Amino acid sequence: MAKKFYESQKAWRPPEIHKLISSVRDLSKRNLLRGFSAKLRLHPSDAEAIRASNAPPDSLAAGAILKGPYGLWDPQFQNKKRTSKGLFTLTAFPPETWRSEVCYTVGYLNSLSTSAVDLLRKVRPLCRLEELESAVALEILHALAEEHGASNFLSFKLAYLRSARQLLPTDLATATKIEDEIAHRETPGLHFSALEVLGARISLFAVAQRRISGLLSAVNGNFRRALSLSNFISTPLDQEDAAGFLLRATESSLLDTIQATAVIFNLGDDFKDVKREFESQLDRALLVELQNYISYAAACSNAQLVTDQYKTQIEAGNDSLDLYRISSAFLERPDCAQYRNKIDRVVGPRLLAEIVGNKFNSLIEPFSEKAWLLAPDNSAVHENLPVTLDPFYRTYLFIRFISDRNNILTLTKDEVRFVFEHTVGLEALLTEEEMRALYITAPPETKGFMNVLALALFRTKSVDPDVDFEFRAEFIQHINAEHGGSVVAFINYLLDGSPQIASYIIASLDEVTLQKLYTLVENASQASEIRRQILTAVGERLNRIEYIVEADAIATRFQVSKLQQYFDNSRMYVDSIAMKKWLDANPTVATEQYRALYPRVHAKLSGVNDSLVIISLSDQDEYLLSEIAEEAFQQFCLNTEFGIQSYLGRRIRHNTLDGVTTETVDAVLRRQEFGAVLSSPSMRRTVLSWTEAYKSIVDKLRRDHLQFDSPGALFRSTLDLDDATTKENIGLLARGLRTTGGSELLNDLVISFCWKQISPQLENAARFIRTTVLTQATASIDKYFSGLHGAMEGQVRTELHEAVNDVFKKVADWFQVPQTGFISASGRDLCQIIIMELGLQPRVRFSGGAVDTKYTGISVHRLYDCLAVLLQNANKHSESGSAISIDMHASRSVASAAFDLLHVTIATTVSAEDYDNAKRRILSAIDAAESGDEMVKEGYTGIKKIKFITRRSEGASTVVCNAEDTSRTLDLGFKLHAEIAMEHVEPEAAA
Amino acid sequence: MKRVLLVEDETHKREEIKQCLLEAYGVEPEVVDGVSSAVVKVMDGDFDLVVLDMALSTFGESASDRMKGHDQAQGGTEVLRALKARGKAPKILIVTQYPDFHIGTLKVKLKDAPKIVRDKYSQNVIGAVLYHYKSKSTMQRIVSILRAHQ
Repeated sequence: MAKKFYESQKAWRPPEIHKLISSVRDLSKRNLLRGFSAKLRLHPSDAEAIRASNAPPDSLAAGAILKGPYGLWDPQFQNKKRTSKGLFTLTAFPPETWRSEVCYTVGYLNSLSTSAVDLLRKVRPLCRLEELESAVALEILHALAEEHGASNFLSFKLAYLRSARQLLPTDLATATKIEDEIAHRETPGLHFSALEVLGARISLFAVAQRRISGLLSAVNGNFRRALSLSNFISTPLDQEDAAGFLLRATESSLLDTIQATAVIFNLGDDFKDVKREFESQLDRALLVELQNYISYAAACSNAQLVTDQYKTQIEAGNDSLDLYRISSAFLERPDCAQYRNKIDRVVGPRLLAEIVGNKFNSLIEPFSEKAWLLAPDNSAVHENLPVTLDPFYRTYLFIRFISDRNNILTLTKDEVRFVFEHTVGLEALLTEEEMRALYITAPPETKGFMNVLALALFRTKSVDPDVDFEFRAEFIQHINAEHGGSVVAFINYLLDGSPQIASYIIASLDEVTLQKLYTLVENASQASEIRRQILTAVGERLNRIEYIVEADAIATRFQVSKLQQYFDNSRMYVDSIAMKKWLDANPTVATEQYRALYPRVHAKLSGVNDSLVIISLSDQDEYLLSEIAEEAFQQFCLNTEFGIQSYLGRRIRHNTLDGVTTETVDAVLRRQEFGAVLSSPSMRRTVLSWTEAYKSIVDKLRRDHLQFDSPGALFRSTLDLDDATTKENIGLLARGLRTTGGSELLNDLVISFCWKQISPQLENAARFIRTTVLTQATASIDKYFSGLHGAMEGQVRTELHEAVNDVFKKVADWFQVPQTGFISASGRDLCQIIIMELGLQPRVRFSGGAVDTKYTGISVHRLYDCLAVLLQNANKHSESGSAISIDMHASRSVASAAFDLLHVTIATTVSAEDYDNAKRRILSAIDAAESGDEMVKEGYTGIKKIKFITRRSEGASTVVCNAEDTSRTLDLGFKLHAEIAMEHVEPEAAA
Repeated sequence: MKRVLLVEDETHKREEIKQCLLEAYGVEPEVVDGVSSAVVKVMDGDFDLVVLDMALSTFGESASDRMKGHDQAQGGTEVLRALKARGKAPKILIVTQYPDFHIGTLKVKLKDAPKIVRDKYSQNVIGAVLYHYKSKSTMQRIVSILRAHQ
């Protein structure tokens, strides 16, 4: 009998299912169900048909039939744990009406009421998650994961612990076990989604935008279809949305369905009918348990939700935003759910505006209390959670305020300036229409200023280059009219009273934008200089060392670019500085997780002999690096600003390919000695035909092969993580990071990884061009010139052979194993540049095995900065007539062949009268503490600068000074990991 | 005498177009090789005709600091925006090496460029030519468009 069932194409269903089907009142639906119940597996359209247009009692039955024990929809699910992959899928069918969806949810819950009651008891302690010891909390989550597998609920609780606690290595090991239980690594998106919503280091505004870009077309206007989008609005916005909200939960897991029901109960004042429907239909025992669960959660204090650890990761002063994010993990608490929902209704649809449009604008409750909007920070507000008026809360009020356009007219220039200065994320949260309204409605006396602000906002939101042009035109006009044509003067004006606006505006004024201020900026150097000046001004005013460092980097880049002569322009090129900037500005969750995890992995690896934990953490380390590498490599290849694809585009667009392929051949055909033979009609026809054939070969190369990811393309932007070379490169990356002692170098090393990864593709492209394409070209010559036997004709053919050989060798050379996008330089090169540029006139003596080793990447810039300080220092103090000794030697790490640990020592003999003073000054500078703030105040210069650079690179300052009193010699030096420039590999000889 | 501005950064293409202008109108154009100088020129001067390449660097090789600046794949469009902003509408001839280009997110086929640019930037585009290196037919097409719009 069993065998018969096994072989049957019809599904066996238990009597419970047939009984449920027979309870369906609609006859046609009952018949439909009988038919579908015989199928082994339902198609989404079958489930959709079952769910469609049911009366409430039939929706109840449908919930049980599809999702209950032995349910038709995903029948395997009942006895198996859910995995991340199972949850992290788009919902397969649309939501029904809210009432129908409630009944469907209740049908599902009631059919599993015993399990649901049991689950509610198990998760109850997690209501007070912030009060539990991390180890205890993680063990509860682990038990939950072991028994029930993945759920959005579990992910949020785990994400909260990861973000709000400093987890010990043993805790991290438990977290890893939980992630293993839910098969996190196969589908990291589920857990990452929770981290994106509440992780302190991830910008909510930026990450929402990134998720939208990836899912816009897939969800077709229904953001609840995708879990990662739905999580950004973690409470239902209105009754219609409650339907999608519940469907999202029922498609996820039983626990998520229970939690969604609890949310509806917590929002009972706004969802009275929905809640009433639940109350009237829900299994009594389950209803009581759910109410107990909520009562228990309601009794929790919300005062400790935002922990000190959470706060250390972010800028202070936006408690309302922190609580908005963290409340998503505590929605069983009525206060959290209500606070979250209130903000969700205003902010949520704006985060997902590209998907939902203006659909939920009517939910915004107008607000016209200008005095309240303009009240000082930290003023009291009446809220469910302990928040005061801060920039995020003021932003929430401001959006409500301008929902009545007449309110804009009541704002004076100073008030507008105050609002812009004391809000956050307006560029992401205001709609384009509101931004337009702001600058159209501004009073005449503030119009210029408002235009700049509003268009700057608009510009960050819109990709429309016409708006960009408009912004720049308005900006130029305002700068000319009010600030004498000086961008720097404008920024200084903003700094006087509204520094945050200045900081915001300079984010818009990058070097490329400054270059495009055509009537204000004459050349690229001037754009760089303006950028440097405004960065310095804002950095000094706001005590922000990162601005000062960027400003300094512009100066350093300018100096180092003098080494450009060493750089062959024709080589493959990726603007590594632009890429590093992009990576810094767009960290993935994996990057943030790695940065958070790294110090602990490192400490564990070096400190504790618990091999099991070490293996587990190291494993996670490489797994996260794989995630980081995948995303980075795609940008490295495809980013329109700096990627290889843009390089290929420029080569093609700027006619280099056409020029190289045509000019060399033309030169042969133009040669005087061939004039006579090429003038004959038959020869002219032959040349014409061959030229066409040759052009089509080049066109095919350009169109089909010098592309990414299309059939026939030579380049691929995706990583094959199973490939041995890729594995090795990721291993090298991991070892490189461990060797260099800090995650500070992460982005530099990731870029280095990308170069290693692309190298085989470049070699392959070069080989293809030198062999396949060249063979096609030479074969075409043989074909078209085959009937010509004269000596001169033969000479033409031979010359053409040589010409195309030259052509494709040259084109193939573009795809050599590259130098990096950075300029490579040795210590000696850098010292000579510094001596020349700073007008120093010392006698120098070089020694050491690493003086002429070429380094690359950001190492060159760091080396330049450190050497410049030491050389200036040495030049200042060295005794007249004495030479400065520069010693550079390196130890190469066994773990990473990509880096040298470079030891630099610069020795100076100081005059007798200056010696004691110089020695005391240097030793005191080395001993002094240095912080970002002090650097801003006292200057990002001198020995403190080297200490700062080496601390950022090496984890601790490496500056040392040895004084030899008898000879009055001061040896000042530092150690730095420096990336070794790749050896140039000669291409294979042409076949 | 016509006042013509040639916006072109490639030497050989520039020389070929200059030949076309000589042949059609007998004029030497003023030449700029970057977006910045082109924008400044059209804002300050009144030209009868602008021959416009689309892909240009911001400052070109003639930049005072010898740095070409940011590559603008659609740099020619900046010139169109500048003309519109100043309310000017000289004749425009687009000569590019791509069968299509982008205006914002809109991909424009070269053959449709005159209408789209006219509608979007209120410019009088007399033609859009797909340039091929050392191609007689390209040269002939440029000359014939120029002659048709004396």
